[in-house]
Amino acid sequence: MSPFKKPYTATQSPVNVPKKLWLARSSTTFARLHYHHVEHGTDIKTHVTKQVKNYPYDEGEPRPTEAALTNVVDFVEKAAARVTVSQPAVSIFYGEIEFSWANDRRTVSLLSKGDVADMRIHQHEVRPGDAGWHNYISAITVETFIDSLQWLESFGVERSHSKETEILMA
Amino acid sequence: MVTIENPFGPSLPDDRKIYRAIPYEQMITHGRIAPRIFMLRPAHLTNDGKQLEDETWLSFGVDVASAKQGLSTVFTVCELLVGDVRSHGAKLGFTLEISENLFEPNKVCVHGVPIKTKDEKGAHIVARELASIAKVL
Repeated sequence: MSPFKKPYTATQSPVNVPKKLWLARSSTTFARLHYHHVEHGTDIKTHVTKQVKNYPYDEGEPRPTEAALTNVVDFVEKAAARVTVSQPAVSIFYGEIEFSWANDRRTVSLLSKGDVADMRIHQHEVRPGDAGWHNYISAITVETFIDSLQWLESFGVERSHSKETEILMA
Repeated sequence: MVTIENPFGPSLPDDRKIYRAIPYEQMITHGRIAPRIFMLRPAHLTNDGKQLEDETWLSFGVDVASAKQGLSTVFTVCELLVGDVRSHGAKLGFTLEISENLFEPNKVCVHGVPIKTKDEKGAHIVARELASIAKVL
């Protein structure tokens, strides 16, 4: 699959990033996409393990446990066996791993501190001119996660329908 | 010895802009700021064995230079409008207050931010919200 058509991956400037910044970094855009193209052939475990290892931790910041990483990767791989899951953005904060996927104004984060029972999903949608919409899910399953990814993917479709309705109303 | 619990001075007006440093490039992915930039750090030991307590406020600068002050690594800086921080916090059920720092005039304190060791859900919601309204400079 072309890296330009990968789901859940923002390929245009998000609303809160000035165009000049996006353009200023355009010289690295090809390299970035190429990187992701290469990464596409890499399994999620290899990709995220590298990210976790090279993460710029604070001085003295506790690292995530092996269990936190293994459990979240296993969880994502179970979902990836059923639906397409792109490489996540990886963030870590004081032992907690966060994998996130974004599509325009929506973001889905999968949070792992160790046990599978402690894993969480945070859905967020930016609503211009208003506070965002948040859904923080405590008891999660692979199905919940797949639903969240589908919610993410549906944003463009919903917007498209909304625009069609606006056109019809006009 | 007199112990002053916090450095919170007068509140800042809604039309003021405040600035927070983003230390590493990895903390911005596809133009999106990692929420950790807006999370309070929990108590931990530094590499030299010093015990640090839970953070109780987020430190911002009054301008770009102030945001970078005292940091050894800065990739870039993001900007937020004080009124947006207050209003978005309030709509989500959090009273976020932005005040001058009495000890460091070029710094600003954002308090009322939940810490994840006490309110995990709140910490993630506030951090994600602030990350979404912050403008990367």
